[in-house]
Amino acid sequence: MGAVATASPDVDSGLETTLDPDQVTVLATPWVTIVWNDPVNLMSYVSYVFQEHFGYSRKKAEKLMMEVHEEGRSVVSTGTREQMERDVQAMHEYGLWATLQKSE
Amino acid sequence: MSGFQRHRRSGRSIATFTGFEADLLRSLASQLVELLRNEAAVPDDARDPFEALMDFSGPTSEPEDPVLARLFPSAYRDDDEAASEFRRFTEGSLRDGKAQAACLVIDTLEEAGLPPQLEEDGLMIDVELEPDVARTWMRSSPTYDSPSRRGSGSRTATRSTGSPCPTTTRVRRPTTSTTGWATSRRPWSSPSRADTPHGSGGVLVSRP
Repeated sequence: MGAVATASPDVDSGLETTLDPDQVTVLATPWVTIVWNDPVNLMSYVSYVFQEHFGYSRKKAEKLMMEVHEEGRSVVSTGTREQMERDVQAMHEYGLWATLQKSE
Repeated sequence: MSGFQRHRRSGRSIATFTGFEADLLRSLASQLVELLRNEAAVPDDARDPFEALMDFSGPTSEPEDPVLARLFPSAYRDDDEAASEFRRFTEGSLRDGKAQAACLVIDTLEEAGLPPQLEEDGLMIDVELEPDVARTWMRSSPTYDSPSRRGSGSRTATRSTGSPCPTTTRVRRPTTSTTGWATSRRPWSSPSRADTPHGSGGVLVSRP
C-alpha cells in the first residue's frame, strides 16, 4: 500500500475552496399595510384618507375603502418594512386602524 | 347646523353652528384632551426641548382603557415585540397630535365666538376654517366618538370648566420625532411634518 497518490493539500488550483459567498443578498420580503374596518370612521372619510395620504385616485381609493367595508380589511400599500411603518403611523394619525405584516 | 360648505374662492370651509352644537363639540373635544393628558406618563412642560425631542421612552404596551386602545392600536398583530417597539417610538407624538388637534377645534370655536360659558339662548356661531384647519377638524372629529360612546360616566362628571388646553399648545411645539439619524431604522417623521400647522402631526403628510 502507500502507493496511492493523493492530491497534495497545498496545491493551489486557483479556485476558491469555500462555497460560502461573502455576502448573502436576498430580496427584501415585501411588507404590506392593512387597514381594518372600524365602526367609527365614515366611508367617505376613509376614501379621503387614502387619496390624501397615498395620492391614490378617487376610483382606487373607493375600491380599497369598499374592500375594508365589505371584507373587513384591505391591503392599502406595499413596500419595505420602514415604509409600511410610516404608513401605519400615518393611518393611526388619521384615526384609522392599520397594521403591517409580511406579505403573504 | 347644515354641514360645511366649501367657499370656492377662498377655499375655506364654512358652517354655522348653534351655540348648543358648538358647546357640545367643545365638550367632546375637551373630554378627549383630558383623557389624553390624564393618562400621559410624564408631564413634559419643564423639560429641556432637546431632551424631549430625543425621548423615545414611550409606552410599550397597549392601553388597558378600551377608548385609548382604539386611538392607539397595535401596529403588529402577531408580533408583540415589534408592536411594543413601534408603540414606544410613535405613541407619544400620536397622543400629542390628537390632543393638539382637539385643542385646535376648541380654539377655533372660541375664536368664532363661543363664550367660555354658554348662557345665551339662540346664539349662532359662524365657523370658517382655512383648508389646513379643516383637515385637522376632519381628522379630529371621529376621535370624539370614543369618549362619548363610553357614556356619561366618570369622565364627564369630573369635567372642569374652562379649556383643558394650556395656552402653550397654541404655540408650535417640537413634538414630532426626529428624522432617523438617532436610530437607523426609525425614520418615521417625514420632513413635511415639520411644516404642519400646530405641529399636530400628519395633517399634511404629502407624498412626492
